[in-house]
Amino acid sequence: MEKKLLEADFLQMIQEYNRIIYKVTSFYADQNTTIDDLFQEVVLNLWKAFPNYRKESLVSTWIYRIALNTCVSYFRKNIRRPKCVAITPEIKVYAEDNEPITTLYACIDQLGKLERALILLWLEDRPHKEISDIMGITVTNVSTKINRIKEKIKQMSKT
Amino acid sequence: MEPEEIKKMWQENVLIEEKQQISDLKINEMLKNQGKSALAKLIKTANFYRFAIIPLGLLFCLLSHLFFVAGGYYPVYPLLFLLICILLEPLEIYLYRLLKGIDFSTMPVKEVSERILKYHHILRKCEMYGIVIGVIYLSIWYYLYYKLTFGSEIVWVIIIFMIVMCMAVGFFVPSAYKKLYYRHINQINESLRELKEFDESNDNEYE
Repeated sequence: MEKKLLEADFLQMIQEYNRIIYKVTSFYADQNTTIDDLFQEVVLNLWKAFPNYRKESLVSTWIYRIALNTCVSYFRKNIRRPKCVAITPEIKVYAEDNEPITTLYACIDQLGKLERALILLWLEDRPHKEISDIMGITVTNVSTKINRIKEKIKQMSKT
Repeated sequence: MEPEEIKKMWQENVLIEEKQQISDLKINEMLKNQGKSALAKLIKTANFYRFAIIPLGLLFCLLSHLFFVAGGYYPVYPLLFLLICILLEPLEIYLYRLLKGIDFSTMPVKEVSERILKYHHILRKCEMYGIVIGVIYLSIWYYLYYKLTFGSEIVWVIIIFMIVMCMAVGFFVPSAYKKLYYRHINQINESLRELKEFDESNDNEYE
């Protein structure tokens, strides 16, 4: 009974916050790793951590942390994938004809994994203190790094 | 386009802001793969090797006499393999603990990234050196086997073959390994460089 209640709460949380998960996974998907793979990984890790979540932080912060950790640590080699459940037909993050966003994704592809995490949190307008907690770097370092990445993206979008 | 404009466009993007439903059935399907996440699999593998490496070495020692059917037996050779397994045991325990200590819900992204990269970096190096040492070890074994079987006439041929094999392996395997696994090793190296830059920026803040 308790497990069913937990599952129900978990399902409700996923429905509420699925777009966060989708945005994070879309930042890290590439030719070898699909959004479906990463989405499933994030859901599994969220489910694993859900019973121990004591609301010490906001739900969105908690989800960002787990989703980013999952994507940053995912290496496809030597992993036999479990059967992947496709969710991409059901969710779209952006219109494919939205050129600035398409350009953004093209620039994101050239960034490192940690840089992608930083820039995503900046795009999502998360406070610097929260970004610092999630990333594990100082608040000043967050500002410096974000400015550098913005400059990089500006240069990349010009070429 | 200016980053601030991109940010504004990102936040205004209607499709992202719409609440979109995924069927509960699909999420339940995903949850059936509980325990099969990438990290869980890595931990299982590390755990297996933590317990299996010494028994594997012992098994090899016990069965090695089957490969010296020509008579004569060099017990020091299989015992050398067992010694290597015993020496590798602390490394296996370290790698297991490195992974087991990862908690996605409480650890910052930088720390998780550090641990995972360390694990993959050590593993790739061990794989590469393991292949080189393994081929050299088997070449010497092959030499001992044929020396016992065919006597001294063939020894020089075998010795030359062995030297050529060892040199070829010593040069060929690392570069072939890098080429075959180029993307994956390159990804690890790029991530390590990025992490180093993050660490350097952090250190500069404290100075």
